[in-house]
Amino acid sequence: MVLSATQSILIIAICAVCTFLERALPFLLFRGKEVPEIIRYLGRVLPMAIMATLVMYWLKGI
Amino acid sequence: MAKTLRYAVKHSFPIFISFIPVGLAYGVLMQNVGYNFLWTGACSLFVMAGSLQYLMVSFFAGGVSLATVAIMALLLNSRHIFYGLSFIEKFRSFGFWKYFLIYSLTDENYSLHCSHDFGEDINEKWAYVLTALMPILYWIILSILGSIIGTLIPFDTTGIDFALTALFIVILIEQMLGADNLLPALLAFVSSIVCLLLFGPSNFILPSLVITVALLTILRSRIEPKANGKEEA
Repeated sequence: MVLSATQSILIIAICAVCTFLERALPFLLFRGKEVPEIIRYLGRVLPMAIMATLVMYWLKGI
Repeated sequence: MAKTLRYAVKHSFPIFISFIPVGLAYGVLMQNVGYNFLWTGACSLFVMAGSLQYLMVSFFAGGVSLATVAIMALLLNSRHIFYGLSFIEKFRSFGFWKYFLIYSLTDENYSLHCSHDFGEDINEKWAYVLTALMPILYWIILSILGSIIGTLIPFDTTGIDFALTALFIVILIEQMLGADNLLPALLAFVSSIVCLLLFGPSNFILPSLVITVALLTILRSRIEPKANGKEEA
């Protein structure tokens, strides 16, 4: 190990918090509020669009 | 519950297959930079994001400031911001379990959530929770295993990593078959290709998703023509 345990733990903590915050962002933004119709619409169409994007993302490595 | 567990295992099985080479390799890489199975397990448990964990191996090799770590983590996983959009109300309806579902919202779990096909007799909340749990267990266990015995495994893993791509393609096809309008997929493909050319393979996802969302919003009346009365003409 090049880094100290403390440095390593800090890196893990930063990565964990950044990742969790990004995953939680939509839920935080609309916390306690009714979800606007435009967001509900995006929620309906995004799965197909995101899967298409992810397919491109994984295919690009081939 | 046993029935739901069986469903969860079955539904997440392709993820397990694809995690075998990726998880084991990750464990080996961590070992190579001097981090044992405890560190590997901790990363898999707390970060729970394959691509970022691979990047972290280079962080552990030293020479990167904490600010750089934060920025790169935010950029690399920015696509996760979009995942929750499709599940805000659904996860909210599951009460306290929504925190677990948010924490476990990886690429793979997102794809599993989008392709649920459980029957009437299975409780929806437990289907989501258990299905999200399985890949977490696979990932943690496989990465720890890789750390401990990874270098002893002789088999040639060429091509196994296509398992994840293949799964995503199948899920995409299912989405397209079940949809009224294929424009979202088309828009996403065009946006991806343009951004691939403009930004290169490692940087195209975020701009691509932003453009895709913008296009989906602008073209809403084309995609869902029977939308509510607030739609302007």
